[in-house]
Amino acid sequence: MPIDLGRVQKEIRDIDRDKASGVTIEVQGNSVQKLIGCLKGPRDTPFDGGIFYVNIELDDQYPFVPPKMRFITKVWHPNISSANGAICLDILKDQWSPALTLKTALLSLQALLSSPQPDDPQDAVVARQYMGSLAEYEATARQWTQTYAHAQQVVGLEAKVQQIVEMGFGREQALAALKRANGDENGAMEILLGA
Amino acid sequence: MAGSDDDQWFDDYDEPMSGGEDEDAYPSDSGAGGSDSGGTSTTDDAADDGFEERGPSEARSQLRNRLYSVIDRQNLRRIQEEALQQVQSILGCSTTTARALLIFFSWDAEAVLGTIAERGQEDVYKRAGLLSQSEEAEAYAAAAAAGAGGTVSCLVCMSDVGPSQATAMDCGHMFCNDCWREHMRINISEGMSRRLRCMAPGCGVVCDEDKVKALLRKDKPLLEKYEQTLLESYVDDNKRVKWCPSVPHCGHAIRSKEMHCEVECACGHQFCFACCEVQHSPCTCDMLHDWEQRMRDGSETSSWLSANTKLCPKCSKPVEKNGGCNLVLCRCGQAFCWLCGQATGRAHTWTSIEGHSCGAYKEEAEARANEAQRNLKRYLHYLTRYEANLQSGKLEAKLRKDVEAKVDALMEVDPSMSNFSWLNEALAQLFLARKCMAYSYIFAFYMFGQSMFKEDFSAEANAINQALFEDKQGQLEAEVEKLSQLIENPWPIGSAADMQSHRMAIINLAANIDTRIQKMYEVIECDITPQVASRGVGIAPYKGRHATGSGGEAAAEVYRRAAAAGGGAGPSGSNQPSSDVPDPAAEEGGRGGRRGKAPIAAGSGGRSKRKAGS
Ligand SMILES: [Zn+2]
Ligand SMILES: [Zn+2]
Ligand SMILES: [Zn+2]
Ligand SMILES: [Zn+2]
Ligand SMILES: [Zn+2]
Ligand SMILES: [Zn+2]
Ligand SMILES: [Zn+2]
Repeated sequence: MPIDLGRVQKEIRDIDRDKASGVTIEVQGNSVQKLIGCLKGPRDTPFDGGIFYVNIELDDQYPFVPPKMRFITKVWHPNISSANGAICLDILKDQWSPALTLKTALLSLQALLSSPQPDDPQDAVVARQYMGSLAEYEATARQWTQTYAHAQQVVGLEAKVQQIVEMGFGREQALAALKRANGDENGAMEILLGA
Repeated sequence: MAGSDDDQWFDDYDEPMSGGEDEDAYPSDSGAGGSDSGGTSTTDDAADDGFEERGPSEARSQLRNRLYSVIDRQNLRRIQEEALQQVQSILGCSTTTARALLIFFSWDAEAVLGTIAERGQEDVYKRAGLLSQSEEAEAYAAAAAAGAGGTVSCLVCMSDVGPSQATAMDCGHMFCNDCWREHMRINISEGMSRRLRCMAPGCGVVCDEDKVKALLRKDKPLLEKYEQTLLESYVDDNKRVKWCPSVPHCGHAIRSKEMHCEVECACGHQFCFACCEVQHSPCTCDMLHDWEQRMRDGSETSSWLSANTKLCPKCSKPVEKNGGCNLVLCRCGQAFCWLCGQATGRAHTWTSIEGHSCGAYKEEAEARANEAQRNLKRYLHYLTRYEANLQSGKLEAKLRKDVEAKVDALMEVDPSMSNFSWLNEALAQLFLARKCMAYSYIFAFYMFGQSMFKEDFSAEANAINQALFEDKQGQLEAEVEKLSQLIENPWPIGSAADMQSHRMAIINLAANIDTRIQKMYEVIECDITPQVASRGVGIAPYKGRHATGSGGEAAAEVYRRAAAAGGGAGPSGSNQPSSDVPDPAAEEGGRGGRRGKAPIAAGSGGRSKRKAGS
């Protein structure tokens, strides 16, 4: 059975309409099964001020199986791999329910940024630091947010998109590649040429 | 009178543990499940039926004492339904609820009911992921109210459907039928039927079986898979039941009251119930697995190892002797003396090694030899004896052939010799003893090695244990060797009197061996393992050839009967089946009817009442 297009499109429309939620979503390319989610770092956390991109892949059996989600933006957090962005969150595994949505999943990621679960870590190094020295952990996480997720990184995006489009790529393609490369136009070109 | 006893005995001996083959022998069930045996329910039929224990006959109540039973597909459905009904009838709950409770308690109905009596229904239901009944009722009402109006909004496909197109589970969560079906399809294909849960986030209530079946009624293969998984949960979620590990799988499961128990499936496959490996009593599962790991690690055979290598005193790796002189050099650079295994300098002549004299080898160097060397020696000591006994056991087929030739020769001289059950008994006892002996060496290697049980025994206590055990083990070994020789050496076939005493000697020795094994187990069970009881050392008990749960006396009695019944002129006639009982095995009687560990039987004496093949 192919993926339930109706449901996914309704989900996307719903997220677009709800501007207050702090999460957005965009289709990557021409299949609704590959998306990029975006969430704001929660206030009063080391992630405040950061914009975090999440790669989303939907299986044919979605929503009966959970969406596959991975941070594109580098994050320093006990439940997120500092190396590849893999996420350890129960609702993305055995606690997934078909009645949950991409929006609830993205909001859960936002909540995860606020309240790490070091007992069930994805990144042992970060978890050890979190348990051992909270101040050190917060400093590193803030540092990473500054470096990789700061809003300013995203400013000037339009100019870069334009630049890539002029080289003969589609606008959507350019945007997706830039997001993957954290706004670095050279990185984005490498992604596009490699793909 | 004696005859009928003997018949029953021989039946039992032919199929020692394979209860449950003949499900239909139940008075209450016969006819229902489509009988295959077609035989009348004689006492002997009932005796074959080692399974689930109902009915009045005495044979059956004896069987109740058996440690384990074989379950086939048909049984599986019935005993599962019995457990479900037992729980349902007391709690008045749905099948789904009863099943969820039973799965949660590993299909132990007593535990379900006991825990509910102790801790209250609400607590137990919650822990098993179920709603209590009052909540259930409320939820139903809520669901009905929601569906009463116009349409139902399905939160999974995000579309509105008519109330008839949606289903609410016991928790009240309602989704459209298409979404339920897809959810079920995916979970059932992944083999999660028995824990098919509600789709609402965080709900976790198990989907009602009747609703699942109603939703899937058009998808026959999926429905079958669902029911199959529910059925198999009796084995998969049950600590006391295991699938027979035979390859290809025979389809049977074994239920055992004891975890540490040696079992034999109806297909003939014998295994340790705890670890599903070969039977290995008296050594424990842990000992066996460590031992096998050891054997895999050192692929060299024991004799090659002991003849050609010594362990380096520095790095403990085996080193091969590579020349005539006694100074050997390990790859790690350490030189040592081949004779005593001690580290040495490298300068040497043909006769002496610099700074080293091992003339005192026999007296003191032995004691000084490094620990690794001692350990290897010790390991080889046990390995050699383990392998020797296993080897003798493996020559079973050859020995049976030899013996058959002797039987043929004997019958030519004395055609009145027609019953050789005594010989089958002795052979079976011999092979059983060999197996016990082999594994008893693994047991001794670990139990007295002061490493696996280092903290449990002082050196003195350990020495006493070892002496006690080795005394019994030695006595057993001596008797086993004697019996082995009596059977293998030429028989006094020419003289009837000599042959008679030869036969009696074999019968007595076999009975002695049975007793000796019991004595060895007594030391293990009464003197040694109680000292390490806190460790949970699980050793399958010795069942003997004829144990029915009543212990060793039964076996001795059996041997006396075998002696009285077998061979010569006279009493052998008493083994003929009484003529008014139909004999289902008649057509496969005689010498052609052997199978498995089939005895060397001449004529129909003694074993004619075996059931027809299953
Ligand atoms: Zn639906
Ligand atoms: Zn529910
Ligand atoms: Zn089997
Ligand atoms: Zn075992
Ligand atoms: Zn030399
Ligand atoms: Zn070495
Ligand atoms: Zn020496």
